[in-house]
Amino acid sequence: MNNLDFFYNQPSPYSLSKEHKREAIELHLSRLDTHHYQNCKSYQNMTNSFRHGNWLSSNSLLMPVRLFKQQELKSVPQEDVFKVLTSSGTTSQVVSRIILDRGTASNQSKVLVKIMQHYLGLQRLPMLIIDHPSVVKDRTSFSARGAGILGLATFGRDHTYALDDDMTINIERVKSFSEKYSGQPVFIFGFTFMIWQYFFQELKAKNIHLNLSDAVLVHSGGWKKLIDVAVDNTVFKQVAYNTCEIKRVHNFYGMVEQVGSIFVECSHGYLHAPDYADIDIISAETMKVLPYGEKGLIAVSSVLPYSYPGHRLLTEDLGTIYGEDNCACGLKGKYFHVHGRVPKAEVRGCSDTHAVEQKL
Amino acid sequence: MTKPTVNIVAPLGKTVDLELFFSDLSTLGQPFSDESVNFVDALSSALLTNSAYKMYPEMIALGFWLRRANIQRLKQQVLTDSIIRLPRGVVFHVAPSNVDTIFIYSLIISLLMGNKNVVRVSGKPSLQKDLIVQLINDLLLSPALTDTSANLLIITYSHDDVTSRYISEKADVRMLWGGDKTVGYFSALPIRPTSVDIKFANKYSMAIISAEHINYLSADELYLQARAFVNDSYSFGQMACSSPRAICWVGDTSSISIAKSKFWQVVKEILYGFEHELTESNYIDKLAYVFEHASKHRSKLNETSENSVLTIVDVALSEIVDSEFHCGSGLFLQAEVDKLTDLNKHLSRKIQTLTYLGFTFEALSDWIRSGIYGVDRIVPFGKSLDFDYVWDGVNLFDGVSRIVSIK
Amino acid sequence: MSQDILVQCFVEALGVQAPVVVDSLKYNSIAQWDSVAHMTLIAMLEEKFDLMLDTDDIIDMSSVAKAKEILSKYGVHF
Repeated sequence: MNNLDFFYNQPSPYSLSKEHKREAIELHLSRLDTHHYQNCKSYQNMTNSFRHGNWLSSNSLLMPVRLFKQQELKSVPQEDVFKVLTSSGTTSQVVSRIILDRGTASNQSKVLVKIMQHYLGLQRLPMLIIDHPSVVKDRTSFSARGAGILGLATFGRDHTYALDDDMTINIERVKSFSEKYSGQPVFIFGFTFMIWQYFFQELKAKNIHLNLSDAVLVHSGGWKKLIDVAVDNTVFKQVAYNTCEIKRVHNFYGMVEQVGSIFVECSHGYLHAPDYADIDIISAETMKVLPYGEKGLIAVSSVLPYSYPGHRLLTEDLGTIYGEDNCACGLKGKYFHVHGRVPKAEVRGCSDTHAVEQKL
Repeated sequence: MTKPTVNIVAPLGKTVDLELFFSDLSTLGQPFSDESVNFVDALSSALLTNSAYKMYPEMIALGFWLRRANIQRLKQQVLTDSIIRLPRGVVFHVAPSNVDTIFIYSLIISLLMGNKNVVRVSGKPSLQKDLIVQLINDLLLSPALTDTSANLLIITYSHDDVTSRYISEKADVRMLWGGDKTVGYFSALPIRPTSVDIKFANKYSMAIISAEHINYLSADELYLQARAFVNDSYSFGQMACSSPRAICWVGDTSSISIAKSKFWQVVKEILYGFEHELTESNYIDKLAYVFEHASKHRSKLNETSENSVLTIVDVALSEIVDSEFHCGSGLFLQAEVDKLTDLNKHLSRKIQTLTYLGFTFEALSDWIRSGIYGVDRIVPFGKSLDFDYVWDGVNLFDGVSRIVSIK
Repeated sequence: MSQDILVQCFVEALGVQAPVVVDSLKYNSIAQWDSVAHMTLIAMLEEKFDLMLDTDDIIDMSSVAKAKEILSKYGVHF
């Protein structure tokens, strides 16, 4: 069993100072190392190979996140499997498959609650979802987008969808929501690009101004498409304020391979590692941990993954850590920025997909 | 039949009636005509003397291969008094999109034989391809090269079967670079019964090293051999079909163990100063490969691998060939054998080049006759990327010519 | 005469000054004489002296002195 009481008993998800955190999280992660080593054959083989080599100073395997796309990794007996999370990657059609038992699934929800409550309070707030309702209609096969919305819908009530099925904004509905809850705290959630494209841009085009000054806007899903149109976090927040008077905006960084222990943006614009998770920046070339301030591959660890060996992962995202425990926002933990995906290398070689690409 | 539309990249500014290009065979030349030899010579001189190409070793290698002395040698080897050799007609070259210069070799061979040539290059921008096409265009402006200009068409075309089908039906030879997928795609398009295909499938190459020999080399000699090995494997990001991707060590266990550590140590030192083209994305691909391989085959990352540039994986002999998933970028699968013949059953038709160190010509020629199904060429360290007109076991001059007998 | 042509080939192929081209100059001993420049050098020697070198001789040409020795085999007199 994966007992997380020590972490749950902290006063907030950002309580542990670095010495305490290092000790607590390493102890927990090393227990998970052992658990997965004993219960997942693939993980055991990978660890043996990794330990034999001379990469990183640690003895613990940092597993490339892509492995979840290549095989099913499971550290619990088949009869304990409760749910399989899948997500489509952005770079390929292959999906990650994450095996959950009841314990892991329940810890994921609990930790997400702890973290979100820190930003939203204990009350469930009226919730405006910047998406269309059918994205969650088919419960048997909804997308990663649908799963994300359902996961966060727990924190809201009177769920109102801002978009219609054809992705156009439903002004009536949005207006009536903002009037109904005028002067009250509300919760707005959506995917970064959707909010920008189908909400902010539409409000601007239609010259509509909303007063959502007491709203907390939470968004996620990556900046790639926005960077292409030169929109960064600062611009995004400025437009949120200009169109809707939203002052509190929290981006978060998370992935299907580590659901629950997400990294949320603080009041000073940095993503923060909660007590349940940690982050390191690794040089892809030297495979060494980089000092704060340097850009490299993001490695994430989380105390949650018990049913699958996803507690120490090497992502394909680039980031920079700026420090630990000393962010001006006052929260403990490492704080950082994500710069997006590692750029794809040009394929070389005598063989190619030229002819086949033409068919597509 | 829909009319094909192509974009002509060389000769520049020329409008060509494709129908006429294929039907007018009056410009077919004599093998090694003065004009074609002069063209090749001019191309070679430009590549070797213009400092703009110095930074591209493969362009210099191309220029070196095309030098007059080498062309004369080829002429002596190909044109013998006893046979009459003539051009086949129109040769359709399908260039790979990623190795930027290889199609030039097959084009030149075909031009030297006197054929007409249509070369399809990828529309993807590539600095080296663009440089060479520009160079050809410049040369073709010369009034002394009008026949060459008439016999050469470098084209791109997009997203349709129509053009591929059209040219396939009219060409006398299709020279299909680009590996299994390209070969598969074009094989589905019919050619005339009298036409031939020269196909270059995906291939896998390896190094074979005599451990005893390594242990006997002086430090300087070892350095030169290791340097040659690095050039063989790290040019083109180890993605050329002739770059060694696996190493089979030959000898007894204790010599192999000493040889491995000596060899990899030197390779590692050389790589610190070597300008490879590997990127973060390549490292991630390798990492994912290493762990996927480990989880499936219990292979082990070798302790010499201390960064992502040089990645060595100890595998069972039966796993040494992985032509399907091997991702290149400085990844070496290694295994051991007592003697070369232990390797025989793993050498399938997929195996192209063996780069060797420490075997005599006699030993190798005896061995290769000992019942091996694959292997196209066996070359010493440093020669894996050298072009030869016998490629993948096919004499390209034979492929683009016909031999007429008079009795 | 042959000496001048030889030096000129080295100067052009390697991009060095003529005084650098002395008998003791070795392959790979200066940055300019690397494997890439070596190919240009060989092509140039073959052209200027109008001869065709064997592969073994191309590999063996590891210094200026050695170049002279090899070229002598092909009838070039220094």
